[in-house]
Amino acid sequence: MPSAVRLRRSNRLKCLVCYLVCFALPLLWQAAASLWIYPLKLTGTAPNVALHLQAALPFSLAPLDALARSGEAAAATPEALRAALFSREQSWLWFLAACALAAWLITLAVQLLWRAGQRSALQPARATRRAIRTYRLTLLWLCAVNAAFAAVVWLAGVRWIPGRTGWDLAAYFGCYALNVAAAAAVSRLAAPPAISGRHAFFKRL
Amino acid sequence: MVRRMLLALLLCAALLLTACGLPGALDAFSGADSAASAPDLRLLEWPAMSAAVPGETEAPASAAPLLADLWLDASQVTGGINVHEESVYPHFSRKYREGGFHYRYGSQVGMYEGVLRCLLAAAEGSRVRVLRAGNERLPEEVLDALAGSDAQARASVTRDLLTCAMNPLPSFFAGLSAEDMEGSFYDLGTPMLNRLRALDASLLENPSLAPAMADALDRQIAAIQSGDTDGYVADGDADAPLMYALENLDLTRLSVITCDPATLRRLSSVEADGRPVDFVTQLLEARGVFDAGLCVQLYALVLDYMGQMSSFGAADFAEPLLWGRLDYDNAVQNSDKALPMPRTLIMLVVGTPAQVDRYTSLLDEGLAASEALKGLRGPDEGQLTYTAGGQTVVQQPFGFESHSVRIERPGWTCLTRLSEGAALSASGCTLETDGQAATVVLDGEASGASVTVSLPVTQESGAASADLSGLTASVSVEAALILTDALPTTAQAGEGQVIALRDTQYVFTREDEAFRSGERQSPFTLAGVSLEDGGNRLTLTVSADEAELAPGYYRVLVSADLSGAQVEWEDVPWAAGLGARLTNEQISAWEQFAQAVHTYDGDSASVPRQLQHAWGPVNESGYHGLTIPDFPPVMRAPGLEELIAQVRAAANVDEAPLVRYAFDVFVPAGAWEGGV
Repeated sequence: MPSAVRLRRSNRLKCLVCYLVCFALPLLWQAAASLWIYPLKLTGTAPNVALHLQAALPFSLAPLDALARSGEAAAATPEALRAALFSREQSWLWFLAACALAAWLITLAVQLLWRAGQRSALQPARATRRAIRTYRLTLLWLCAVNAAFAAVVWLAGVRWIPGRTGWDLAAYFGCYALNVAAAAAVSRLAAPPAISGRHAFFKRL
Repeated sequence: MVRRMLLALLLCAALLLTACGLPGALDAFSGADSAASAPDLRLLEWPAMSAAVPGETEAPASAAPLLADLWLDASQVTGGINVHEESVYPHFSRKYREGGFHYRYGSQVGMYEGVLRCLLAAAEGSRVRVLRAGNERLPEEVLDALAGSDAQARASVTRDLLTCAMNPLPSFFAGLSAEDMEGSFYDLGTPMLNRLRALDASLLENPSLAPAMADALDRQIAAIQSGDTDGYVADGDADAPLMYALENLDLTRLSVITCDPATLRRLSSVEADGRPVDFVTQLLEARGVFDAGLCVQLYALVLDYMGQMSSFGAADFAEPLLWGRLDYDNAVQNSDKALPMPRTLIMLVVGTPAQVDRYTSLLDEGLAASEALKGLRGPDEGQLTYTAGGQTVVQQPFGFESHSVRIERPGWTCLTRLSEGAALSASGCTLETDGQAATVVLDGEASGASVTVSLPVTQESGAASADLSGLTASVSVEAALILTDALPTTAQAGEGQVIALRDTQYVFTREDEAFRSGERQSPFTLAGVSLEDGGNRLTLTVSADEAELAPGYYRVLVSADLSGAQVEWEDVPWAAGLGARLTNEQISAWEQFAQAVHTYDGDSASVPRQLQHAWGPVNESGYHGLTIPDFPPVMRAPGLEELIAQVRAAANVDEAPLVRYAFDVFVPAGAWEGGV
C-alpha cells in the first residue's frame, strides 16, 4: 500500500504544520505584543504588577516584595523615577509572558490530551459524536482557563493602567483568544483519522 | 470550510487591529480619563537651584599688611603762608607767624602734627608712602614726555613725582613745620618738592624714570621760584590738592588724604548748556573709586591753626586773613606763647571696607589716646576776637575734635530664597518644599493661582536707608522646560528631553530667559508689591495665567531693584555745625575789605591796631568809610556738607538689587499609575 503510506505521511505532516501554525500564533502574538506593540503603542504604561500581586496574596513573598519595591521610586528624582519605570516594565512584560506561556502550555496540553483520546476506530459514527461532545466541553474548559489567565492579567495589572485603549486589549489579551482559537482550529482541522473525514465535523487535511 | 475559517480568522484579526488604532473605540474597556494618560513630567531633568548666595564675596584678611598712601595737603593756606610778598603782615616776626595747621613756636606745635603721627601709627607695620599734594603742577607736555598719554601711567608717574617719603619715622613730620615757613614743606615751589634724589628709586612705581622725574621737578622748582608759574601751579576753581590727590589715587592701596577745606574753591559748576557739574562726584566716578568696591571714611577734625590765609574758598584776599598769632607782650616787647585759633581739617580715608575699618579703628584709638591732642588750646584770656553775625566773638580755649562718616556704595543684602525669614506661600496651587528649594505645582484645573513671596527687609545699609514705598518689582522666567512637540514613537525626536507615553513622544525643550523676547506672553505677572508688618516685610505676589501655562517646569525669578533715588542717606549732624556755605556776596564783601586794607595800610610800617587779628572786634565806625563785614568763618569747613553729598552721590548706584527670589513652578500633565 505505498500510496496509502504516502497519504498518511502527508496527513501527519499537514497536521504537524497545522499545529505549528495555530499554536505558534499565540506565542508570536505575545512576542509581538512585548517587543513591538508595547514599545510603540503602550510604552510608559506598565503597572507595578508585583505590588498588586503582593497585595492580592495572603502571604508575603520576599522576591515579589523586592520587585514591588523596585517598582516604586526611591526618591523623587527623575533618575529614580526612570529606574522604577524600567523595573515595572520589565516585571510587567515578564509577567505577561509567563501568563501567556502558562495558558498556552495548558491549552496545548489539554488539546493534545483530547486528541490522544480520539484514536479508537471502532464504531466511528459513535466515536465522532462522542468526540464532538468532548471537543465542545474541552473548548469550553479551555475558554475558562484562558479567561482565568486573562482575568489574572486584568486584575493584577491592566485595570491599573490609565487611559487604556484597544492596543492594551490586543497586547494583553489577544494571546488568550488565540489560544482558544488555536485549540479549536487544530481540533477541527488536525483531528485523528478515526473521527475525521472530508466532509465531516473534523476535517481531514 | 477550512477556507471560511481562515477567512473569518483573518477578518477578526484585521478588525481587532483596526479597533486598536481607533482612540476611544473601546470605551467600555478604557475606563480611564484622558488626563491620567498624560506623561509624568517628574521624569524631566530639571536642575536644582543653586545653594550659593549671589554676590557673596570673602572679605580680605584683616591682618594682611597694608600699602598706604598718605596724601598731605601742602597748599599754602594749610601752612598759613601768606602768598603776597608785600603785605601788612610780616611773614615772620615776634607777633606774627605763618605755619597754619603745622605751626611751630618753640616746642609748641600744631595738633596737626599729632594727627599725622597718629596717621602713621595707625598704619604701623605697613608700607607707607607720603605724597605731597600742593598747588604745584607739571605742564602736560612734561607728563606726556614722562608717561605718555595713558591716564594710569600718568597717574603712576604723578604719584612718584609727589612722593616725598617712604616708610617715614614720626619725626619726619616735625621736619615739615618751622617757625619760619619760607622754603618749608608748604611753600610754593619749595625745594622739598623734589625728594626723589633722596629716596631709594627702587621703591618708586617707575624706578627707571627717577632721574628724568627729578630733573623735571628741578625745572619746576626753578620756574616757580623765578616767578614763571604758567602751567606750574594749580589753575581753576576745580583744581585743589584734594582733587589732585583723587585724580591720581592708587586704587589698589589705602589712601589717606588730608585737605584744608579753604582750598576747596568751588565744588560744583554749571556747564554752558545748563548741565550742573559736581566736580568731586565726577572725579570719583571717572576714577571708579566706588565701582572698585572702595569706600570713603570722611573725617572732619577740629585742630588749632596759626597763620595767614590768603584765600578761603573762592575768595582771594589782597591782604591775608590773620587767624591766630603769638601772644605778644607790649611791655617786654616779646612773645611768650602761641595763640592758635580753631580750624577744621578734612581727611578722607579711601580703601576697601576691610582696610578702612582696620585703619580707622586704629586711627580713632590713636587720636583718642594721643597726648598731643589732649587739653585746651587758644587764647585763654580773651586776647583774640573776631566778628560774626555783627557781634564780637571772644575766642575761648578749645580742644581737639574728631568726627567721621562712612560713605560707601549702598549695598543692601540681596534678598533671596536663602535669606533668613524668607517665606513662600501659594494660593490656588500646591507648594512642595525640598530643603530650601520650593516648587509650586500648578495643575491645569486650578484657577486664580498666585504665589506670594514674603521677605524681611532691613532698610539700612551702613549710613543709608531706603524708601521702599515706591519700590517697583518684576517677575521673569529665568528658564523653562516646556512641552514643545508631540511626535509618534516611530519618529526621531530632536533636541530636548523626551518622555514616551503610549504611542507618543512628548518633547520638552529648555529655554533660558524664556518670554524675554516678548514673542510669547509670559504666564506670570506681578500682581502686587506691598510693605507689611510696619514696613519690615516686603510682600510680592505673583499670579499665573493658567491659559498660558504649558506643561513643564518654569524657574520664576521675582526681582526688585532699589533705585538711587530711593536711597536715603543718614543725616550727618556734625557736618552742619562744622560746615559753612559761602555766597558770592560774602566773597565779594571780604575781598573788597581786604583790598581796602591793602590799599590803605599795605605800605604802613606797622599793623594797625584794628587789623592785628581777624579784622578786630566789631567796629561801628567802619574802615575808611567801608563797612567792615563779618570775618570769614575760617574756623569752619566751607563746602563740607556739599563734599559729603557729592561723595555720596558718587557712591550711589543707579540700581541696586534688593530682591532676587527664585522658585520653580511645575505644571504637570498627569501622573502615571499609582504615583511614584
